[in-house]
Amino acid sequence: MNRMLVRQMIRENLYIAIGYFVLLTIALLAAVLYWPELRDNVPVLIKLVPFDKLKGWVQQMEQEGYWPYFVVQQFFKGCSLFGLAAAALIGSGMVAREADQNTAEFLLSRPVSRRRVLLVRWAVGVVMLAVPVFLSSIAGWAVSVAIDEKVSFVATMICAAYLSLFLMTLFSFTAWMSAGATHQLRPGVTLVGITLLMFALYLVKVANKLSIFMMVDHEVLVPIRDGIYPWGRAAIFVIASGVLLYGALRRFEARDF
Amino acid sequence: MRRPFARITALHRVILATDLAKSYAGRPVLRGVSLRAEPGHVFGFVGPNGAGKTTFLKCLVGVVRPDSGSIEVDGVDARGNALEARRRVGYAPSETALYQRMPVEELVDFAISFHPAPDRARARELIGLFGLPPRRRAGKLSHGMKRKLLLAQAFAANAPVLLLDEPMEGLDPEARRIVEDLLREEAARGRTVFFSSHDLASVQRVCHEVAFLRSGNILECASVPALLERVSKILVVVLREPRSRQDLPDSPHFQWSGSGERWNLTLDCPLEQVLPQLAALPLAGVRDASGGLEELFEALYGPDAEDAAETEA
Repeated sequence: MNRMLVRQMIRENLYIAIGYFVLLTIALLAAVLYWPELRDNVPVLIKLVPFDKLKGWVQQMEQEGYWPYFVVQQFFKGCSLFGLAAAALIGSGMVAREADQNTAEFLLSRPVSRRRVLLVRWAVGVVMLAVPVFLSSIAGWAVSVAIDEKVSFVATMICAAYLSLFLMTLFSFTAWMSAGATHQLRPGVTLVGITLLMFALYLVKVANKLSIFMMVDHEVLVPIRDGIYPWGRAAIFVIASGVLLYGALRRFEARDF
Repeated sequence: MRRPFARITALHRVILATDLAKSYAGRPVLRGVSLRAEPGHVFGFVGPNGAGKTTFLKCLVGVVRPDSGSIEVDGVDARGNALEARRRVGYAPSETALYQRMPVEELVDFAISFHPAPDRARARELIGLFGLPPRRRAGKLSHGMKRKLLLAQAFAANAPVLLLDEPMEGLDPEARRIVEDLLREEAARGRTVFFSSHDLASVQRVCHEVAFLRSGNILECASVPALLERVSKILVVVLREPRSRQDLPDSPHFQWSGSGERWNLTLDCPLEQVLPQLAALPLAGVRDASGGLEELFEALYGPDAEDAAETEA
């Protein structure tokens, strides 16, 4: 029973996951290969960067070299951007696509509980979001050697796991929206809208504490190499995901189709 | 291990709804529907669009939650334990939207795999019987083919109760005949078959009992022979030589119309009472042109019935 639900979920979202992985990998490899050119111009770059947050990142690059550049390119920029898009596309379809395309009656008249449908889809969705993060990070770690840079594999994997939890939270939020929506577009657009607002807040010095991007930026990711792990923030992601998933289940179970 | 349904006594295989009510945003769709469908019987559910047929079927499988009332499917409380009730139901929805990317064979397999005792050999057989291309994606199927696919998975679920919402809709006459035969076969195997339809000719041919629904209320619920007793009985009588009205047998139960060699006889008595009197005529042929469920439907839902209902309201 679970196998069929897993297969169906993968079939529906496979192209999104592949596209997400390809974009993530290309963006990271391009950034890695650009590093030798950028490395010598970092002191000049500091003067040109307009926002304090970005300026802080470039300063870190000047002091610590390649690692801050690598984590921001892969995890802050790549995973947040492409991961957000993938979370919106996959998560919004979890329930709302069934309602939108009138397939809900066909599925829900099978002897399978709504709880099982949602949990299996949620789990498959999380895996589809996380696997590209890990694979592209491994590719970036491997290619770094080609430009004479070395990054910690363990730290890279911990960052990948942390970003996967962040994406899981965004995905759970979209799933919660999707569980009550009749059109797939609405939860996806809502997630993208909220995230853009969050990013705008992140760039404003007095308001950036309100932004979720504070939880995945260079100030959190760079210290992971030195063994300073964001346990508290990771726990927040897990708890938030659990609450949102529970809310999504309640919504889905109470709905008529 | 789960007990195979084939061993469960036929007495359990009943659909029993009591005072079932459902409203959408304050608009009542079902207003206390009560009915009982027996095992080994085909039960037809008839009514105009918006009468509440689909909502009733959705309540039976738990896709829609009723506001009040009770439902029992094959001995299981379908409101309290919808999942267990669905295990006992092969269901074909009226909506033909399917997962577009799944090929026919895989989609049928997907649909039946959730059931406790799916019959995969039967699924393949039905796909062949309906002429469905097994490897074609569902999105590329015609409306009628999608309907056949939905029916194939409902039959192949191998469940003791069959619920079919508009199973004849979109089917060609040959496919309708096949489906009618399948419905009779399923009932003969002791299953409870319940289907909604606008195709009254099919309902009359296949069903043992019929319920007529209007605006969420059951107007009539009876066996097909009992319902047909209430519609006009008309015989077309063709004579070898012309006769005038005075030459034809008379009775308070007879009403003749026509002329010459061709007459229509409307009766309000059993056919056996008429035949001896007709035997005295120079008959070239007698054909039954009695009204069927169509006539009853017209009487229940036609403009006169609506006026009466409004007056009553």
